[in-house]
Amino acid sequence: MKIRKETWMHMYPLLLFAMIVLSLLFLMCAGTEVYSAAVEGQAYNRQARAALSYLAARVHAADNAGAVSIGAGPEGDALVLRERAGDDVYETRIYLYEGALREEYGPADLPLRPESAERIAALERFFLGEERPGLLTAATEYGEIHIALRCEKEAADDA
Amino acid sequence: MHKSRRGAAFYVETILLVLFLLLSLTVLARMLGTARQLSREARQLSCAVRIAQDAAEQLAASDSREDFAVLLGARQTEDGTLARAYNAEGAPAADAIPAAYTLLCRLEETAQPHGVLLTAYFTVCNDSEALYELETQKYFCAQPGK
Repeated sequence: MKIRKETWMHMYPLLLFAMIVLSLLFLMCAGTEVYSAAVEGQAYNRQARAALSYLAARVHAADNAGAVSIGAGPEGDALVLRERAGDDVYETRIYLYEGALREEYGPADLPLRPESAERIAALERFFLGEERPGLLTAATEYGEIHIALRCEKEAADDA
Repeated sequence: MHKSRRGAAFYVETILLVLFLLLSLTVLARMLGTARQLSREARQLSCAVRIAQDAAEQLAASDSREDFAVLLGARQTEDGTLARAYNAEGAPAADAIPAAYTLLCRLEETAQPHGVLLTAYFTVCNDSEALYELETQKYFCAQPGK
C-alpha cells in the first residue's frame, strides 16, 4: 500500500507536467492553424485588391474616348491605356508576365519590354474582354470584375 | 504534522497551477477564436465590397433599369428588389445553389426634366447579416447624346 502511494507521488508531478505540455502543444497547434488562416486570408485580400482594384483605378483614371483598349501581351491580353502629350502618344500597358501582373509606360510605337516592366501583383491568370461597348471585364484567379468606361459609353451614345 | 502540512501545501499549489493553466487556456482559446472570426469577417467584407462595386460598374454601363437587371443577371423579388446569388469566391452562382452572398439592389427612380435619375441601394449580405451597403446614382437621358 505504501509502495503504491509512493509510486503515485512520483507519478503525480510527471502527469502534471505532461498535462501542461499537452495543453501547450494543443494551443500551439490551434494558434498556428489560426495564424496561418489569418495570414492566408490577409494575403488573399491584399492580392485581390492589388490586382482587381488597381486595374479598375487605372482604367478610371485613364478613361477618355478611345484611350482604353485591349491589346496583346507576352502571355495573353494586355490592357492598353493611351494618352496624348502634344503630338506624341504614350501608352501604359498592363499585362501578365512570369506569374505577375506588370505595368510599363512608354511611347506607343515601342514594343513591349516585359523584363523591365514594374511588378504590380502576383497573378496566374489574366483575361480581358469587352462585354458590351463601354463595359470592360477583367478576369483573374481572384475573380472577375466589370469596369464601366464612362467616356467610351458617352462617345458611343453620342454616335 | 509537519509532513501533512507540506502535503497540503503541495496540493494547494497544484490546484492553483491547474487553475492558472485553465484560465490561460480559456483566454488564449478566446483570443484565437476571435482572431479566426475577424479573419473570416475581413475576407467576407472584402468579397462583399467587390460584389457591390462590380454591380455599381454594371449600373454605370447600362442603358436603362431593365437593361441593368439583364446585365446583372438578377431576378426580381416580390417587392421589386433585384437579387443575385454569389458563391464563396464572389462569383455569380445559380440561384438553386445555397449562396454564400446575396446581392440585393433596390432601385428608385426620380423623374428629371430630360430623363430619369436612378438611385441604386446595394446591400450584400450573407445568410445572417448585411455585410456591406453601397449607394450610387445613374442618370438616364431620355434622348441619349443630348
